[in-house]
Amino acid sequence: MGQSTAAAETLAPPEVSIPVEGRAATQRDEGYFNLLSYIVSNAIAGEVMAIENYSEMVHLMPTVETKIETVHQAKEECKHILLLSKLGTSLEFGVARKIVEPQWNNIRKHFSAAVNRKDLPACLIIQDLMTESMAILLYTTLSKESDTDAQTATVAGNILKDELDHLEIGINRLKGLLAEDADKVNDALVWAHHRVMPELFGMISTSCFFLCDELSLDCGSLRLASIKTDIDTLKIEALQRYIQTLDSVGFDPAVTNPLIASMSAYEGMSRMVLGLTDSSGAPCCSPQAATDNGKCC
Amino acid sequence: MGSPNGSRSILLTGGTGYLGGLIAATLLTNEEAELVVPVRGKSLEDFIRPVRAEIEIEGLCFQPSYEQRLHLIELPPFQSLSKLDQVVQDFGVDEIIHSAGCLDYFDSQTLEAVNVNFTRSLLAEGQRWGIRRFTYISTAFSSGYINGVVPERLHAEPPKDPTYYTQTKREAEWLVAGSGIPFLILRPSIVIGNSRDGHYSGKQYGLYQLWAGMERLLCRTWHRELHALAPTQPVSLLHQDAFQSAFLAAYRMLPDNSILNLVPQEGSLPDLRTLWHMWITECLRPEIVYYYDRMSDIPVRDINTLQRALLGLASVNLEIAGHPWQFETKNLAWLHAQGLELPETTAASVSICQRRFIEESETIRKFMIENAACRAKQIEFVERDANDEALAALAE
Repeated sequence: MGQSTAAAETLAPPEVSIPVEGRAATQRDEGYFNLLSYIVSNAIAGEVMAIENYSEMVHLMPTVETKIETVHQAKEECKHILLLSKLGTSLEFGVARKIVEPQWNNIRKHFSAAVNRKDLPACLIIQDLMTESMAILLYTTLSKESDTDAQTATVAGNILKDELDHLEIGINRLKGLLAEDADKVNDALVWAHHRVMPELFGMISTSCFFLCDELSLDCGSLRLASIKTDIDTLKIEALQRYIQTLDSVGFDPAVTNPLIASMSAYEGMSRMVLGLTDSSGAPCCSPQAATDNGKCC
Repeated sequence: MGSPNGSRSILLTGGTGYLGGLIAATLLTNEEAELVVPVRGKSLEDFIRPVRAEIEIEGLCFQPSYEQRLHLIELPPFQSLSKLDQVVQDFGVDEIIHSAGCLDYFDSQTLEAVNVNFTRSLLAEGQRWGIRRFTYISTAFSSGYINGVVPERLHAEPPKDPTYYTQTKREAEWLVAGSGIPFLILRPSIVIGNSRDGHYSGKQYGLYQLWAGMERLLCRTWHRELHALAPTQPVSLLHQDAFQSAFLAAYRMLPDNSILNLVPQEGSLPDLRTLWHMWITECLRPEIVYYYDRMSDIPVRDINTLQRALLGLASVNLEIAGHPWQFETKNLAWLHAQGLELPETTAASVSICQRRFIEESETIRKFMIENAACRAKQIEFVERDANDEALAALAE
């Protein structure tokens, strides 16, 4: 990361004031910092993906103004990586400054597919609605000082403001596109939903594919209770935020309800492969399983 | 090896599933047949546990001979079912009961692979094995959304399917009927817990999906207002003990090439509104409830997001439940005439299942305790239409 990191350092905003108190001042145990290491590393991976996504979609933006705005969004994601990295340094927990978990690469792949066919609505839906909604959930959770620590809460709060702006930009862009061609945007939503949402929801977890190995953490030891939450609460909050976002854009509930219904299967709620699978619950429809017309069913 | 007692030997697919387990329990206690059950990665002990539970709940003893009659074998890949040749020969399998299926509405690949392709492969092998009857567990909703009565015969393509699941089950029925093997197709509607004690060992699906959704989403904080999609449409709920009795009767008595709509008597069925009402009064107790007949009538963007999430998650099943299904029940009537007695599904019998669900939920217990002061003593029920007008206020 050497050279690119150095370049990115110049993007760090001097105006962000973050209390630097060090690990001792937080009075938190090792488990808390291990959890932060895991969460922050995943967040950085999401930011890396966001930089690549925004950069890749610039040429699809219709005006100079929106191209500049998109580049600015990418730049802000760079800033987030630096803030999160500094947080790790300050609180002395390790962070992985690269994409480790395969879900991020899968989402990138689908985003690139949308770019290649010049599907701007799908790009906006994947990055500005779906990914930003999850980012907002993450940073909202981390920004509660009573549940985390002053430094983490401040960093997360600062990033949260940017992500809320990005969401707002995406909502406004999609509202315009929806008014122009509702069918096209609805198709893009269905296509993107079945590919990206299972990946994003799959990451609301304290288990992983490779990240804990990368960070030398004991995968089974991570406890969300360290930040006073749990998986179920996070999943419900993620579901609520996603639905709110879809409604904010103005999608017809007749389009969104079946998509929401499909999410009941992400966590095995309605896993119904009678007698043919184990009890772990298979995801409803992996991105790979969705058909080319963008539908799982 | 052959069948030790000379009785028939049945290949039962989906034996580790809910309906398959009920079928296994029914056959073990009522028939003498050997049961050959293909499974993946399941021990005999794990397989027997729920089957034994179903038998013992009925007040029967799980006999040692039951275990001796159960033969778990590894299920090969669907395209390699010929690997079962030796087992079929050894046990003298002469029947197949095919209850394996995928009910994951949105997983098109698995629906196609399991419901259609697996069925096709099994039929092909069944022909080769000289199977004398193929019993297929389908669904009451395999017709798709059609106007009028759902007949006890194969369905044409409907104008619309509730889900890809119903489409694949309909395709499988055609495969079964066209295979040349004598067949029996059973089409159960929404199976719920036992009519006497409410126990249920299936997944959170159908009515249980709605209950679990309410438990998970609406029992976190108390809601003063509640918006519910609750048409006054009877819901075709079938108690699992009714399913077992009807299965056995059909298995024993219906002639080859029969199709049975395995549905409850319509007269006593609770409607969707009654089901909401039961849950609301027993558990949630908001101050005011708005009932809607159609999803499109609900101002979803203006209501609480947890309620919005519930309506979204359950939207497909609520749509299915709200459809005015009517079923031909000639075969069931004939079985009744032969002495079959089925427990009726009524509001009271469903409330037994609901009570059991609530009693077993720590989340609901906590909700009730923590919100005891909020939960309304009087609930106002308001019917709303698309124009958002209160048509009637039904004080409890």
